[in-house]
Amino acid sequence: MTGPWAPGLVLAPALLLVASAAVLLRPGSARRAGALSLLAVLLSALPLTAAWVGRRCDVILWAPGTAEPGGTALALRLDGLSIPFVANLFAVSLLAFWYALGYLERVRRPEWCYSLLLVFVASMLGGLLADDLLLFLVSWEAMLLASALLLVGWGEGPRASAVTLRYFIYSQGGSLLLIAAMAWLAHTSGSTQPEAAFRAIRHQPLPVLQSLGAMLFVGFAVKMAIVPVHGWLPDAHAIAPMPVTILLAGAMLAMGAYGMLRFALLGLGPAALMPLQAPLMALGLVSQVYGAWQSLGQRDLKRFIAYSSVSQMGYVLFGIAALSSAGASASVHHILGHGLVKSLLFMAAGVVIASTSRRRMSGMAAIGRLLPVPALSLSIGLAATAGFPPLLGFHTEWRLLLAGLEAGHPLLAAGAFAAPVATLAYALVLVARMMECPAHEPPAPVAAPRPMRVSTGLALALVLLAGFLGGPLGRWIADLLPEMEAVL
Amino acid sequence: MNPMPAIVPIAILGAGSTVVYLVARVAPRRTSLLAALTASIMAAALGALLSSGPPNRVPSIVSPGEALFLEPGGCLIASTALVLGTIVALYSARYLALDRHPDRYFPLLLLMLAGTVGATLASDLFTLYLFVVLTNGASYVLVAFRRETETAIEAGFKYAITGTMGSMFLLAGIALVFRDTGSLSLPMPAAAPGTGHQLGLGLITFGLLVKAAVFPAHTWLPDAHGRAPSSISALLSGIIVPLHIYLLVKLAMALHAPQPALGWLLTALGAGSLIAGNVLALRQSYGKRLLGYSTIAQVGYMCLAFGLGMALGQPEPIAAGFLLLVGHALLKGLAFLAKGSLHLYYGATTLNDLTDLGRRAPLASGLLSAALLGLAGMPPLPGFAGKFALLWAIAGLDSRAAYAVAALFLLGSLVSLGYYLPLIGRLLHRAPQTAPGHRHSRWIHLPMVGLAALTLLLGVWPWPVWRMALEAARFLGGW
Repeated sequence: MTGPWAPGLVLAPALLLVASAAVLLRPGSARRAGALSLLAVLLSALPLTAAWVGRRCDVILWAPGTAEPGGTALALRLDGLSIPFVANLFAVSLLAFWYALGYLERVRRPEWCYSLLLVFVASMLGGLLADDLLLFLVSWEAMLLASALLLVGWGEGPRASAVTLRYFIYSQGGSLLLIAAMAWLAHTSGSTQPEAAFRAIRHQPLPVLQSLGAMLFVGFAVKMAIVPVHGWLPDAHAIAPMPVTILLAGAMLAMGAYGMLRFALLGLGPAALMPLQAPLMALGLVSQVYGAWQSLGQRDLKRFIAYSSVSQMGYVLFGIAALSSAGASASVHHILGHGLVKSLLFMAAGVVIASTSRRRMSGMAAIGRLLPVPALSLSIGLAATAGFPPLLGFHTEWRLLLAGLEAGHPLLAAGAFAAPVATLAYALVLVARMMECPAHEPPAPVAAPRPMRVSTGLALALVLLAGFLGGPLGRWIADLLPEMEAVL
Repeated sequence: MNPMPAIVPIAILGAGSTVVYLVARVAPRRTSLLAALTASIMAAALGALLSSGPPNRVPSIVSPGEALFLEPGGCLIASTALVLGTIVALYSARYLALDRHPDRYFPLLLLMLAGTVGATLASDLFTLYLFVVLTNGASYVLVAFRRETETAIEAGFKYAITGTMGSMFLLAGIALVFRDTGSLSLPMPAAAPGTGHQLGLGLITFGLLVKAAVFPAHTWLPDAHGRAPSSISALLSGIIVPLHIYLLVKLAMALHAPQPALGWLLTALGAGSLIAGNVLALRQSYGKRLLGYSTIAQVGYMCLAFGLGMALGQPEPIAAGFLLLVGHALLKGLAFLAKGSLHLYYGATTLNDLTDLGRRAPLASGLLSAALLGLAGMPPLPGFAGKFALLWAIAGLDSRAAYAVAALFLLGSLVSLGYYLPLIGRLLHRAPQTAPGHRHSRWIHLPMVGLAALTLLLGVWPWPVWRMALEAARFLGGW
């Protein structure tokens, strides 16, 4: 155990899990369960903040089977790579749980819904903190199970179970590749501690490392919804209740990027992955453009925003595929920004839907006049996505493009300049829709529940703040990754 | 302390069966009493088995050599069988409350397990044959236990025909081996050069493969396991069918079969089983038939593991096969027991009947869903440990064919979600209006919860079983 605040690593997920059991004690009251969950999220952020002051710390709770072949340990660790992701997870969870106070007011079986939401957050936190391959896999599957139960139990619309089945099968396909890759890693290296395992396999022949890298990249790409394996995302995001959508889009997509960075890029090292660079960059590019293009044609507001995530994850993959520390820190920065922006977009969309009971794109006319604040939030969120200067996307996309240019594939990097244009196109579609004057005056909107509006305001403030502080934020992330510098 | 002779557990089970039968003649309607008695006899046998501990030899009284030999793999399988049997016996107390003949059920249950334990312990071909036939004979009757229904008779008949055919091949094979080697003891000192030995091995393999429902001889299993009482299906699917795979591996090692050839054959047939089981399960509309097809697929996984280990002469895949076997026994047992309780209280046979039972019977539905997810390999249940162990073991084999097998295994477990998840979805699906749930007996719930707790323990803490499995694999490899 190193670091004075290392026990905080155990405390945070434990607190979330205890809270998830505690909300079940008093069934029926949504308000109470929501308040308790929000409190648990806030409280569990504290020990992690304290641990972060110690910068890099790790703790081995229990090492039962390390003497066995393929033995495992219950080991956690917080380091430069996981800190931004943990921060993102907590920012998004805070917004989602606050928003849920309003959104899930009249949901059925609220205690189970909140309990699963807390398990979902705890499992993502577990995945980020896990310092053991098996513990990571267990958290990874728990994340899938919790989110699938939320989708099937509280999904909106008649297709909830079909969508969940598809989501589950896609995700499990990715997980199986990861399980195979990590089983191979554990056997070849004789260790399940990632750092030790990867150090032990460095001398393996390059083709072996490359096929391992390809398995890891594909496995994590499913969670990131990169284009050929993105099929689960639009439906899942569209049917999920809004707090779940926020967590799926803002926090869970980031888990895929985290896995790629931690296991593929940092673990195997850029030299081994070089042959994969061009295909990965190309996939990122395809995702960027395809997601944007699909967004253009969507008729449903939530699907519209969901496809924008496909496009945004394309940017992230593009940055990771640069296989450089500049690309890695730019994509981490982009992930952070994406978490906030996507939360803001979904939250504002939820306010619009709750106020007008309309979610079709064609019903968005005159929203700008009727609901000025949510419309402004949507516009600012879209502008940030498209990379307008003082906003979030500007810094990160700039740094991503630079990293792409330095990566030595000028043609692909040039193609990446098209993506912001496509993003701008779909952003303008919604903005223009909201400014339209319809022939018939639509019915007056009702007020959305107060916690939804207040938390959306907070998200807007965070997006603006993170945009204005883009430079310092980027430097903070780059400073947090000294280990990456050492490896790359 | 001297270890207890390995014959004691079999003797306890056999004598217990007589005692239970006599008690049942006196008090035929006291199902709970009979169940408690049966469960305690099985628990006593389990205790005796564990205190005898491998390796443990019992000399034969009829021929030179030894009749029983408790080796680590046999100990692992026999203890799994007895654990599952104890739970099934307890569960039967309420489950059989409406049936007419508990006086036949419980003694047969004990005989079936006596056969199972005996077959794992046998160190002589003929002893092995007798115990296999004992297990099978008892299970034919138990499949057709609800003889008032035509379907049960049909299923029992089908099962008896295929099973007896398997036994005939086994016996013929044993005869041929005996003709060439003049010996029945296990392990044989050396392989005989004659073709009779090879042919005998082929017949033994064929007979055991039929009994283990390995593709393409898998067709009888869904009928038998779909129609038997759920408590019996739990034991049949959980332990009796995989038992034959273990016997096959043990005999192949002990009789000096050409291991690579037999290993690749087992791998290929396992791949066939995996594909057939998973694909056919997708189209099932009856819950228990679906579980039966899932057993075919899972036996396919075990065949892959054992087959690869034999083909490449490595102990680790074989150990993974043992872990898969034990995990499957507990998970499939739990799935059948939970499904049986839904049938008992709500008459649920088809998948549609399961609609909304998640609300009416939350505990049984929850356990069924958990068992299915465990079979699909989700942590922290033992399916995940088995899957990881198999992939981990395959990573150590430097063979392209093994990697192809791993890919097929992964694809199979992905396809299996296509039938496990819709079943769970049915349980969670909300009907517009439903009656409230029935009150469940504690004696239905407690055994299931106990089994679930054991299963969870094995999933979270697989190391003791994994250690035993590795030991068993190394031991078999040394023969």
